[in-house]
Amino acid sequence: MKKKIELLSPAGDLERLKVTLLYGADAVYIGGRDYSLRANATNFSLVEIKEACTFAHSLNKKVYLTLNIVFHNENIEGVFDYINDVVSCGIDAFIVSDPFIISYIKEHFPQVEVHLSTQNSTSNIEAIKYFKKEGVDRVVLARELSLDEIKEIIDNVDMDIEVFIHGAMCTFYSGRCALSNYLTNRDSNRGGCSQVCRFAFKIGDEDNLFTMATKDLNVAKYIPKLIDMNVTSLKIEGRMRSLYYLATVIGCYRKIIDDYYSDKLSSNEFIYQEKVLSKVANRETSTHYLDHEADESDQYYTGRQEISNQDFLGLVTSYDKEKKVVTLVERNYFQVGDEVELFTPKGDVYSFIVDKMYNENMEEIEVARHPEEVIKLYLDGDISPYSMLRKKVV
Amino acid sequence: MKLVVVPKNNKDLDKYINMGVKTFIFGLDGFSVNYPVLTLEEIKKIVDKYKNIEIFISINKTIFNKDLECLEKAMDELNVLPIKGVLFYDLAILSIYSRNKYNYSLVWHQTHMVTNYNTCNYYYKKKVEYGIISSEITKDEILEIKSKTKMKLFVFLLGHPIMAHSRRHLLTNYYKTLNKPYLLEDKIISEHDKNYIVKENELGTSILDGEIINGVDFINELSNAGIEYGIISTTDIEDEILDKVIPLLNAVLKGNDKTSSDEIKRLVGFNTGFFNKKTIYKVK
Repeated sequence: MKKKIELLSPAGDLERLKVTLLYGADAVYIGGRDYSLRANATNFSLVEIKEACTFAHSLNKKVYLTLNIVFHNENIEGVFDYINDVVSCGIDAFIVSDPFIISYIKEHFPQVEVHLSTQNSTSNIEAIKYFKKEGVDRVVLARELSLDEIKEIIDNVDMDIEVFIHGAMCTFYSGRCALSNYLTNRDSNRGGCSQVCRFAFKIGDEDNLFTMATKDLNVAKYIPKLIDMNVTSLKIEGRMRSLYYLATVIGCYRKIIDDYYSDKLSSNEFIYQEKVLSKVANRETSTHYLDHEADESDQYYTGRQEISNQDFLGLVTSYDKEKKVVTLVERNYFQVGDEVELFTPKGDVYSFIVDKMYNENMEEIEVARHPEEVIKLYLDGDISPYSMLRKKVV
Repeated sequence: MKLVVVPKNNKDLDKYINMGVKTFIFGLDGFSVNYPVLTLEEIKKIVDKYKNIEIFISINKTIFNKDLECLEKAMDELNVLPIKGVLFYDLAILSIYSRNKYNYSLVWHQTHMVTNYNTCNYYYKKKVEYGIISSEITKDEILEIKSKTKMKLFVFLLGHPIMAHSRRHLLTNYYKTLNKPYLLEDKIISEHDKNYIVKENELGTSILDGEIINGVDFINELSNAGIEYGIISTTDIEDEILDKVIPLLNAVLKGNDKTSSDEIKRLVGFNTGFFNKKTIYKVK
């Protein structure tokens, strides 16, 4: 029987790792304190990597560590010791881009998988055959490929294939961009990318500024096709994304994937999940290269267009099953009379109107206006910590 | 150190040969980005005409499945020509090279990724004889790499460095959005008084630094350390300036340091790029 497709989530810290796994990710990719392409994310210490692996393995899930900087001489010393340490923490795979790392891992730890980072912009059958010989277990494909090109690759190579399905896109080929180095002195290939592609430039005598910024990726509608094509893993971008964003996105894709496998993916359900995904996005989205040659519809040309999202109302910290009291910490303003939804890691969604709410002393209040304020609500359901309250998706 | 010129076209060869340059890089039509491209026929004419020069051919575009058949054919056809080497970015080229016994050498040319001695050694073991060092590392890093690898190295000495390359047609898309015509001409974009050059063709869009990198102050130290080649890119530099700068660089290499380097600086400025500037990647 065909192995079920993997849903792979990013996580910038231990809490986000736990949440994404609880919300349905099959595996999580994380960065250590060094050697990762998100140098300024919180990232994981060795102790945290060990805890992450223990937690994930207890759920029969996996943890992958990004080791995908393009090394300079100064980064070499210590990296092999670091790999040894991370292996003893129980890591399941390394995501790498520099090839000398591949041979070291395969020689010393053949039981640990090596995934070739998208930083290599691997885009053809021949290059994948090369990496197969080098011992690479999985290739994260370039984000410039069409569905047909991906299918052709899968049909012609004996290699696990991972495809980005959601999140921010690079304007330039991954690995082929040093704008950040030149404009801000931050090394993009060592995790210092300052997103210069989102800067606004003057161009000639034009009144309109020139930006190179792209819309985000969202290929939810192609999940069934990607499953049928035998893609191994579907990857979500965003190790610096919030708990709410990750829970929402992972929850949506979990539902789409599971419903497709069980033949229950109705068009209404799909439309709803797409709505939820669009609500959590802070930029417009596109399918980019997957179904067309990227064009002007995939770009922003009028400066920054980012939307601040205030739909996340509160994070559930506990639930008293007997009294049916939900305790949550407030994240954004809401009040009595608001239409809201509480969604859970299991995928359940409870829609209701807030008729009454209470402060931590169970004194009735009308408005939750202070971030981190403890709020209590009455609600009957199968509710667990890390459930989240949001504005109703309409 | 030998000076290597990336000319604007094949018509300039005689001029540069007369200036003492004996090594040139061209791109192969349809397979190269950010190099002047020639067809196989044109390359053949050059190698027939000029017997005592070294020609390197760049095949540095990102390769897609649809390119593979033509790519292997082109690599086969290059094999019958007396070219010195092929510059590659995509690992498809190394894969094809590994199963064929080609006469030419390979040059590792992953623009921003040739940054450490271990990876140089990795590729050297794979029979890749040459590497073009990334323009974003320091002179000290280059010297350390040289001291720890047998790979023969090229360093970008003078010209507008490539900063980024995209499959997207960023200028076409921009002008389409504005409902204005765009005729594939280069554009200058600017931010905080710094200019950058945007070039678009059928393979996508590239951004170059608007300022010329001038490595004249480091040329002798790099040469003395054994760096084999110093690249001069003529892209977007006026011929009048190049005609003066290239002989001056040769003079610097021959020991006429002070006067010649001062004149080069007067002609192209003294932006030393990353030769003396370390990039940061972690903000504490």
